[in-house]
Amino acid sequence: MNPPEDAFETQLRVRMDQLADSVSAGDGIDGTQLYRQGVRRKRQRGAAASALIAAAVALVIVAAAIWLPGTIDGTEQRPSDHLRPVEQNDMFQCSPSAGCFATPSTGSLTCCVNLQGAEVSHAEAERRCTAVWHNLYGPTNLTVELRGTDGPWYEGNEIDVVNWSEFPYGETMEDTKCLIPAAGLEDTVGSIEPPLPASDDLAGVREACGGFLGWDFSDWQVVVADSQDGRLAALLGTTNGDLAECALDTEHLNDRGVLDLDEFFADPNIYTTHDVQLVKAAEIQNYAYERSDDYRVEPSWCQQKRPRTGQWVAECLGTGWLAGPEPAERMVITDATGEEHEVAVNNGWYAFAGTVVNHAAVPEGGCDPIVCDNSRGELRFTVYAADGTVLADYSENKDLQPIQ
Amino acid sequence: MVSTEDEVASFVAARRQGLTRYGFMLAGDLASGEDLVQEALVRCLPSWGRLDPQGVEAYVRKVMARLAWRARRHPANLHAPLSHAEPATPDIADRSAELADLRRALNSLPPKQRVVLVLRYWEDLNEAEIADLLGCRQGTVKSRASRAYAQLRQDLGWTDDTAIADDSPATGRDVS
Repeated sequence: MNPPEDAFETQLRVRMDQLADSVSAGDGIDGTQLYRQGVRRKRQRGAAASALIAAAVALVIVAAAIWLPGTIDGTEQRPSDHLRPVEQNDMFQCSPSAGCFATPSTGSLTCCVNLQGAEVSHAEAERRCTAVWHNLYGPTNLTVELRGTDGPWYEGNEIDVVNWSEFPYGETMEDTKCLIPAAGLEDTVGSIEPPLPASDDLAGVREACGGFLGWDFSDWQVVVADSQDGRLAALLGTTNGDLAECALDTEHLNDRGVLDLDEFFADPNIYTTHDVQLVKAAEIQNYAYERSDDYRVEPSWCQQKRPRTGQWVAECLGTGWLAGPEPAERMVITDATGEEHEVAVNNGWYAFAGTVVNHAAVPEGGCDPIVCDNSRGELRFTVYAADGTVLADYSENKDLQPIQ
Repeated sequence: MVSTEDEVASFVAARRQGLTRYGFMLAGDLASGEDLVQEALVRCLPSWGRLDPQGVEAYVRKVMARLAWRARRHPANLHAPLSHAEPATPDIADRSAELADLRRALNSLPPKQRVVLVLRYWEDLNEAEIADLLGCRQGTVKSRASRAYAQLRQDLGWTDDTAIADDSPATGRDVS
């Protein structure tokens, strides 16, 4: 039981109970349906992890919301200020437009990114999406077909397809989408070819992330990248504020170099996996500024490593934005063992693919003394500006009032 | 012989209401809550036969909480932008402005903050229990909860000068 609390906390409990009680949950669906939906969704998610992107939501353009992410190449314009939603216009669909939806009441921002390359024919779009399917799930006679006939179609477009769901397991999925890969990349979608490129191999990072998504990132800038422990975390950006969050891992691959779905489905410890997600830099920045302006590490995308014997990997660090009044250029994490980890940071953007140790929980069977004994186990974050000035130096409990 | 699928279906049929409500609180809307239930069930399938029958629901709830904890964005923020006067959603009857405000404020929080608040104030877990449940550090729970609580109070206008009318007694929580 928690200790006595203030009147607001008591009230919060009451309101939460009322909120929960107001839900009419589960009407009209039985357990079997729920179970089958879950299995179907799981399969769909496996596909999604292999370069399918979530369906578009209705969005509203944020005027003048163009922001140029910095690059580690040092050739791009730097931001003068963080972005705020500034204007709300009419509703529109993600495709063919792209932009951000501003929520004035909360200040939150939701965006979508649309890639658009060369126009392709209906038949070519189907051929490429069929090739993607075969690459992901193995060679079969299955042919992926477009749903509907409205064109034109362009590389990078998400299109509705049918037959995609003819999984070995049976059920048919509806409303599945395929991102039409760029020419010549349909056979690489969802695949990873170890070893992953080094952090400073910018061309290699572009190639690895682009091959996975099926898009040519050669004209995108690598904003920041970190490659270690068989993992790659990277942010790639364009001058119009598009970002690709790239997280690749050499684990859980089958002999085709793609996610081993049998292992993925069977292992409950796999919470996140390889993916390349397209986002707007503005959305991530706004998300960070909504909640913190003190260089807190709030990853927008990350991979979770399973614990090793005697150790627990800290929370996902992945990639994200360090919100603060000055651009951060360096960060050091000191973990529970005292080991210091240098985190790649560029103009506030960071990427970290490494492993940090804490003792959040003691695994069954005990834990390594170095992790558990006489250590508070907190991660300590030290954030620096370009001139070496310390912008922030904190552990997670610093300056935070505990709830009594 | 009863198949795993039948066992799961039977379990869900019996526990659907409570699990979905739990998912709703963790995720912020009914559809996302159902997703959480479904995803948790699928993740539990491989080990279903090895689970203690008495502990199945606790295990499923643990998986749900961890899935919600790892959500990248709050699903409700994508499905139902709050700036567009939330329509009378079929999944929840907002009987009062206070509940609507609370729901809106909870949904505006980052997923980790929302999950911690729900576990703390709705599930009545302490920081150590939440840390164990989520597989994270207790300091993480404390920091997330502290920030979330402060943000929630601000969003709801709950200041020290604000009189909060306790207009109804705490209701018994349905965990059935």
